[in-house]
Amino acid sequence: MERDLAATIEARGVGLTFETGLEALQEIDLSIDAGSFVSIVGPSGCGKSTFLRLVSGLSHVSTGELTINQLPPIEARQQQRQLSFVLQDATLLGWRRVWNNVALPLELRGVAEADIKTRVEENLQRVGLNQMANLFPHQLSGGMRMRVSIARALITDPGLLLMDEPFGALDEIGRHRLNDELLGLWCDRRWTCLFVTHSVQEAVFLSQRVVVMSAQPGRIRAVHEVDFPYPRPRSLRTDPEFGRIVARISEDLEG
Amino acid sequence: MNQKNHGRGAEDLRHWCGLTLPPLLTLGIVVAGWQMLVDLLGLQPYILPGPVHVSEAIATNLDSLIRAVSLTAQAAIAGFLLSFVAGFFIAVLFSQSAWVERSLYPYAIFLQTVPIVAVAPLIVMWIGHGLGGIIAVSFIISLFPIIANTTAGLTSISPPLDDLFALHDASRWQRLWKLQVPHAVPDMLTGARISCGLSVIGAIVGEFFTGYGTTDFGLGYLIIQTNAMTKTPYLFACVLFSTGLGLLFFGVVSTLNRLILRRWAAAR
Amino acid sequence: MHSTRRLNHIALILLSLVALLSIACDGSKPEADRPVQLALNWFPEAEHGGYYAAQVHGDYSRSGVEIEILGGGPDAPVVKRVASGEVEFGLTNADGVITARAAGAPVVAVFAPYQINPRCIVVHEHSGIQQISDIENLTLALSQRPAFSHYLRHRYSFPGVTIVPYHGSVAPFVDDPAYAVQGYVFSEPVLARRLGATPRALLVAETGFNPYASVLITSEARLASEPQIVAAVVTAAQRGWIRYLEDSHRTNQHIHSLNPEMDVEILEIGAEMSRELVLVGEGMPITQIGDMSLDRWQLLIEQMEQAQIVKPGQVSAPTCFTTTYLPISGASGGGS
Repeated sequence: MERDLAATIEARGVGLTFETGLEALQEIDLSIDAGSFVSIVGPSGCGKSTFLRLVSGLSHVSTGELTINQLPPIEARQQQRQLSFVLQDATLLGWRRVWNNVALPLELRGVAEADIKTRVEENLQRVGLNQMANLFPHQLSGGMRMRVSIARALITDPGLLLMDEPFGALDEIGRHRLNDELLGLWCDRRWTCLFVTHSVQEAVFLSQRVVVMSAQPGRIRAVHEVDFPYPRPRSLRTDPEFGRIVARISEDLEG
Repeated sequence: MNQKNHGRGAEDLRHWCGLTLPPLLTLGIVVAGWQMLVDLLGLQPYILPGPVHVSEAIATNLDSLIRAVSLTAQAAIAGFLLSFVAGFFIAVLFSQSAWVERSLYPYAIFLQTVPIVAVAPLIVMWIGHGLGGIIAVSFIISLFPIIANTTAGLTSISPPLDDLFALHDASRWQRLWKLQVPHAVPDMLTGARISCGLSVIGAIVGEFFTGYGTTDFGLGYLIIQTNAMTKTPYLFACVLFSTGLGLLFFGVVSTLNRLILRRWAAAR
Repeated sequence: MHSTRRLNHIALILLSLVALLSIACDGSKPEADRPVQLALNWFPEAEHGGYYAAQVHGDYSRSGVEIEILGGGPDAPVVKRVASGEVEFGLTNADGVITARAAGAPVVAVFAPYQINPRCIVVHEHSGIQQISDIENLTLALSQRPAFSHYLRHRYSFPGVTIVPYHGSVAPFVDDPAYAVQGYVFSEPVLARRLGATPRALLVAETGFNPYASVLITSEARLASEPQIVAAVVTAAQRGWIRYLEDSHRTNQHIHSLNPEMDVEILEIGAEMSRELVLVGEGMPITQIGDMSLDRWQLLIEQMEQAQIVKPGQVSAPTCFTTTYLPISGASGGGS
């Protein structure tokens, strides 16, 4: 299914300097096509999370130009309402059941109650969470909570999904499983996805492009294309070509 | 699911036993020790009455004591509820503007430190004596913990949750009612636990200074009179009933606490 | 037809009669009683007996006022409420009037039943102490704030005496032979005796410090604007005290109902002893109950100035009181 509302991101010479004088990002030039899955990897402090915050409109650029669908990030977010952001922390509201957590974005937008009901049920079904609908976050495992967070992010049918190390706290098996699920959902709706991770393996498995950043100041060191077709099977992880790409990117990281 | 519910019921019962049996046991030991002390030292009942004398006093004056406790309880409940509602609104006000908080917080602290002796005559002049004045004192004494704890709960939102609501461009109103207030509930209940005991003290002290019983014979009135008349066993009975009232309040609020906080269990 | 007409005529006449009667009755009916409030300085007790007696026996109504007696307690702000006009009348002691006026509160004493102040110091019989000036080598429970306390501490050196706060109970006194306690002559000694002690009450009045007690006060403004009400209440109050000293039974029952923990027995003892304190022996005519003298007010002001309770020159005696409202006015010269 084609998404004609997926977002395009254009960054030209984007830089961010904090009030303290620390230069977090420098000369970021990046073009992200509608419906593409792009990962960003890099060492701690390279500004990858900061870049996501700029795209989401939570922070403002100091220099350069950043647009989403040719609009400044905040306007794009407020007018088009196509943005969802999955934060590192699942950030679920502990006093609400799963059902109500997923409903939150629609509630905030003033969607009618009947509509909310149908859409939440649909969404929970899609993400495989309908058994847990009445549970509270403290009754769920870390992985479950992240899935609820993703379900919440997807309920508004976004054109742009930002994800900041969402699976970082999970063990390897949990992470693999959620990678598969995420790809399944993405193949279905093809939103633009900008995915930040520490794991090169994960980046390569999920994305079409991997952006490698270096730290202090944060700059783009390299961009690698990953050409495997979708859907991507688990066995891809043991593919020799996969391994070579991972090795090349890892070298870039260390170098 | 059913199994879980049964487990809940048994868990509650166990919790209740754990809560009430140790104090009761200790109480038994204390009462026995008390009687022994009085006998050993040969103390006169007007100095330190033993449990036997106090029980007699309770039996003789049960009607007055029950009436007094219920009057004091009414004042304490009213004072507490008022302080909870007012405290909540003041805290909401504080949470919405750092400037307002900084300007007015010192006055909230003043409420905690002001000696009632100094303020009571003012209360009598503005609100009058009797039940109105007593409730006012109970209110003043109970207010600060509610303000302090609720404000803390409303303003201690973690940055990721803040970001979540900012990303959805939530309005100030939505942020208040869907994020800040639910987030503050555990803190509000902590404040309530502190204030409920204070409200009883406030009702009794309020009676000392603003009750002027000619119709309101609450525990404060009884304490002053039985002390002046040197009816010491009766005085002790009043003290016991006051303590009992405080414990009862605390128990009710703690139970409410536990019931409400089930869903917040690990919200932070 | 005829009969209905007749009936109509009769009805009309009857109606007119009723209308006329009601107008006439309205015209000749006395004005509704003026409601006034009297704020007590403590919980209702024998010291308020006469004021309550007047209420119980309808003397205030007969004077044309409907009185509401408001209870008091520790630190009851009687002076403030009277000075501000919130309540029309209040009770305090003469020294209370002086400290009030020194602080700028324009209150005036209009009626003073207790010619002898009931304040006393209670000692044990076996201590051998016969007067307050002899008190030495014991613990004395004494409040810090009242005027009499300042006066006694200023006047007497009390060698070897440890002054401790008074907590309202005679229990420590009964328990300790080397103890003395402040009190009211019809209260603390009686309670101590009940507990098996043999107390002796030493009247503070015998040291010369003798402020009128249970004094009725009102504001200067009210004296100017509604003197007739003041007259009405003072008249009723005097009548009430006359009754109370004669037969206090019914009034004491009433006071007990307002203050259930106050024994009727204590109230009766209080009423009995008050005869002596109000009438000063049998010599004084009952029509003089409530009278005040300029000399006594002047003396009290001097004493309070010496004890540094008020600054010299702050208060002048004539402004503190007036006897013009007493039923036999001008009995011993008054002030404004």
